[in-house]
Amino acid sequence: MVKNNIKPMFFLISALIIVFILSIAMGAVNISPLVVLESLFTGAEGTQHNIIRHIRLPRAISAFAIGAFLSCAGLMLQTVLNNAIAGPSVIGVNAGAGFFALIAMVFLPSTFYAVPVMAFLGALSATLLVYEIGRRTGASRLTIVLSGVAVSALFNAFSDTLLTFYPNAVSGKVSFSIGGLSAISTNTLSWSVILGFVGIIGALLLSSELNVMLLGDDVAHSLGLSVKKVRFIALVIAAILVGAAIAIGGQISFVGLICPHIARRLWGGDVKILMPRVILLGSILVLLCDILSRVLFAPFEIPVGIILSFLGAPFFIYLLISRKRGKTHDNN
Amino acid sequence: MITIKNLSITLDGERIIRNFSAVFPENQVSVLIGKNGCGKTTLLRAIAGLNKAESGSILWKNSDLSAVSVKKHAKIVAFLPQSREVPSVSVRSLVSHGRFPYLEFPRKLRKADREIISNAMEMAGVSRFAERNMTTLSGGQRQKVYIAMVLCQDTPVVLLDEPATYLDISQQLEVLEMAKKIAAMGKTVIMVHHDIPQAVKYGDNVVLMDEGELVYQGSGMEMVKKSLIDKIFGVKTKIIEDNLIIE
Repeated sequence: MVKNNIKPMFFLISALIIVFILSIAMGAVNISPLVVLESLFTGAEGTQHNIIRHIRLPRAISAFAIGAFLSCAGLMLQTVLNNAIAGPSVIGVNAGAGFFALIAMVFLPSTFYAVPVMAFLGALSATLLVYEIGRRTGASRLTIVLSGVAVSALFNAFSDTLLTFYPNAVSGKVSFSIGGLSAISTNTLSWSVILGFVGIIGALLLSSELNVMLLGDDVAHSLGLSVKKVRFIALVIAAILVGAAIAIGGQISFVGLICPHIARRLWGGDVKILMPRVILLGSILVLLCDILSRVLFAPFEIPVGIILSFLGAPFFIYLLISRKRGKTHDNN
Repeated sequence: MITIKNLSITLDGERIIRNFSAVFPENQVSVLIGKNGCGKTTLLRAIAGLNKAESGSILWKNSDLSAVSVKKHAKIVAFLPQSREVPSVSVRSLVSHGRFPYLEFPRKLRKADREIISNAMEMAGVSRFAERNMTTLSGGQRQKVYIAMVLCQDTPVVLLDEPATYLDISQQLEVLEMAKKIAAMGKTVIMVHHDIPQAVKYGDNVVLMDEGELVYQGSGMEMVKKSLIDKIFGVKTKIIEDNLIIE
């Protein structure tokens, strides 16, 4: 297993490093990757180095973190809700986090840690709400998705109401509601990265338990797993991760849906093996999409959330169709 | 040995199990039979710790199973439900989950665990496709893999809920033979099974239930001779050369 794990991890880490450097090098002004490396590892001074350190690097870190957090959250949600289409944006977690983050931006604008903490609380509220609706109504795959649609609509309506009453309180509100990386706050970024990092550690530590949950609640319980406790912890961790991601870049969608699926196609369903790979894959995807968002219509930039939605929405439709045809249950 | 004393279970306001008492000895395959909805699976799930008793007790070696922790319970009782997920993992990986109750954090398999996993796969006859993905296997092969996982859990009590459903006849017989082998290891095997002639043939201890109550417990042939199958299921039975025939 260790041998089998080295190749994909080596490939993913190499790809991540390359995409990370490219993400810093490419933009309205292209900078040589060598200058990027010089800037990262030496104290060299100059205009390009300033651009790299103060604009491009925080942006690349943001894309890296958002991708890692959302894809990890997606894998966790899909596993504990036993629902392969339960991405954080699909089931309303992003919308909950977004609304609570907006509350922090409007009412606590100078408290830097308020945005990620409130986004976490919003993500948690939405997650628990969807889970509870799903549980009470039988928790079928469709019910969870429909609950997510309702919860998303509710939180988005709250967000729109807030923005209607306080139209000037949030700078870059369009970018926030679509998901963009052009107006990163470094203070919020630091707090969010710390919060999200805690979530990633928690997710990695929980991966054995999540693996057992793949067998269904009854078998997991029979194997000695406290199913309700593990599910609750996993939902809290997923909420931390989504909250941290939304606080950094706004409502970026579909990363948590796409990455776990690609990873499962490539490497199977073992959560212990998948978790680190999904995290790296998520970072690579958002970094790539962020590069695209800057170079596609250069010198104009489109929010990265739009690129991800263009990728994610057809992918979601494809999943719905293939799930209907597919078979995940022994007795279906 | 599992002893059930005066057990009653109510689910969603409906009394499913009524004052049920029975003994399930070790070294034997006990088969629960009865009409649909008579409470067989509810009883099995109660022994598995998944349904709570309203009154009465479920004892293993005189200790009340409802009082033990989930983790300790998993070292006493293994449960294979009728409906199972088929995760996209290798056979070996799935079987290794059977060791979960014994692994402390960070849940790394030890050498002894790996040996138990190999032996369980060998006994269940799944070693030759150990590295294949679960999703590529037939229903019968998947069932054997799950049975290997149960063996790997190494518990004195094994519960199987309709393990032969959806399998063709040769696979059904293989699974029933495996249940006999597990019992021969000194374990208490309790199985829900719908095929009455097979239950009579393979069950050392047949437990007939009706509307949540115990109707009969003991030899399958004796049960047939008392015309209990005819009475409960409303069918006609006869015995030809020690084989039960249902007309």
